Amino acid sequence: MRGSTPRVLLLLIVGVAAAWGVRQAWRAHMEQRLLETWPETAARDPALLRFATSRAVPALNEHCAACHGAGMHGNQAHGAPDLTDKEWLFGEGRVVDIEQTINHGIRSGDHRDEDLASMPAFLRAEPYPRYHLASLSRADVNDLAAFILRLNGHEPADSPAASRGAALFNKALCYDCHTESAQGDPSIGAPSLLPHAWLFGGNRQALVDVISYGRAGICPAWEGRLAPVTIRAIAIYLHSRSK
Amino acid sequence: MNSPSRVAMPWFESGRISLALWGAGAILGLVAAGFSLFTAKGTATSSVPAEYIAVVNQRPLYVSDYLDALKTQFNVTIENATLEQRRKVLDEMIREELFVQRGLELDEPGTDPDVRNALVAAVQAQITVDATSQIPNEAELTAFYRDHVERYSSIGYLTAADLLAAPDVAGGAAEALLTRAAAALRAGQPLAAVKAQFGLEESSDSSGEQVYFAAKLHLGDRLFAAAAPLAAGEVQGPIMAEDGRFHLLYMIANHPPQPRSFAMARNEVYGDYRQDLLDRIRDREFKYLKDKADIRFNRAYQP
Repeated sequence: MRGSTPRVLLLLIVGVAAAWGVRQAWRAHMEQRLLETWPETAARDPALLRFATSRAVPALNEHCAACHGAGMHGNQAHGAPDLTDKEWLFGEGRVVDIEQTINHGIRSGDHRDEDLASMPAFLRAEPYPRYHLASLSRADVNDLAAFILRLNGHEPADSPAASRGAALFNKALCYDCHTESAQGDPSIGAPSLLPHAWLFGGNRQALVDVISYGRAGICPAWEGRLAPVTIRAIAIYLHSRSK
Repeated sequence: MNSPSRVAMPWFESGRISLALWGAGAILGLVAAGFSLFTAKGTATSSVPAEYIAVVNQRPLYVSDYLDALKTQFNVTIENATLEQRRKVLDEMIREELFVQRGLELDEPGTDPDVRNALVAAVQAQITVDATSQIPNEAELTAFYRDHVERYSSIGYLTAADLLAAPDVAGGAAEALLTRAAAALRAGQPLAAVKAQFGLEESSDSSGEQVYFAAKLHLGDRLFAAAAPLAAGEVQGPIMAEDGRFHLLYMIANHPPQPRSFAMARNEVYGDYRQDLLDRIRDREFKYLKDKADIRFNRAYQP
């Protein structure tokens, strides 16, 4: 028995080394596959999706949970969107759209970030820093809020305030970002004003606050901070949860 | 004489065991070194790493940029892109890379103002990106909010009557008339009655509810300064305004700006915190670069 100990030790070392080597080789192979498979195709491959999940979840917990919450269900108080629903503020929810947002961020300062527009603060003297927009009165803001509530079925159809708000929606150039049908424009991150998951809350006071004081959420750019394979894995994983 | 018989020792009890262990260690080391060497970022190999779509003169073109370009240019994913679209985007990326490399060889950043401006913007943006990846915690944001609480007030609004004597009553007569009207208002007479009794006009610009900045714009600095502290029902004046006429102010309702809670203002606090951080980082970066730079001045022009 005394003599078998070193042999067992040696076999153990060789076994662990072999297992480690096999695991590393498998990981390298899967990483390679994840990056080389076209994104939307990779998202449909069960093996790649499992690998992406194993890679994405720890990264999400480490880097994204602070704003989006542990389950990625968002945080209305911070205006951090739910990443598990089917609504995407920027892009159409394709893997490639999600990946672009993770890479370059939102208002992050990255040269390719999502930063074409933000919500003006209509009660301020200068509502929008990029070009001139006229300020609104408090009554106007309340009318606009009533109009949006009516779009969502929370204000009577014959509400005079909502009707005034509808006229203001065009006059104050709201349609320019949110579109004439108020469906929003994902190419610039303008949310839908129709029934949907509200980023900052959809009650009257929340709407009045948003119109009065503006909003401009920020998401960091992760390109260069997370490995490309991790970013692809997160995009695929979030796409899979977006139902 | 019997010679002692040699007893064969098992291999693992002989000196060969140490040799075997050394060997195993060496192989493990070689495997680890080889793995690290051929997978490290920036390793020059003849193959193109999976995250690059191409390498042009040792400069990588990223797959993510290629996918973004396909989306931006044609709004297609690579799965839906035609061969022509894929070729076109890739050709354009290679073209851009080659021209950038050529531009550096020609020292364009040293001579072309547009390139220099773009470089300055790019470096500042890079600093921005570094800063935005540091997500502040709630304690940092709360401390920033406390230090700048005045920035996060609600918008004040007021409704005031800006009263003037009739145009044919000027100077001392107007002042005296408005003084009597002020006394009547202070005595509790209704606004409409006072206007009728003294033949006063009300400035239409400043009537109705107005947010503070609009009231300031319409009333002018002097009248707004007099109006802002008034509570509902209070009177101020007569005051000589910038237009050279006496005015009497009667406050109908006044809601001065109130501090908004941190929770209400968090989005603005985050934006301002980040901007403040960026300004400081940019200043620090400039100072650092300036400190380590060798800058010599022409005495004739040194300010």
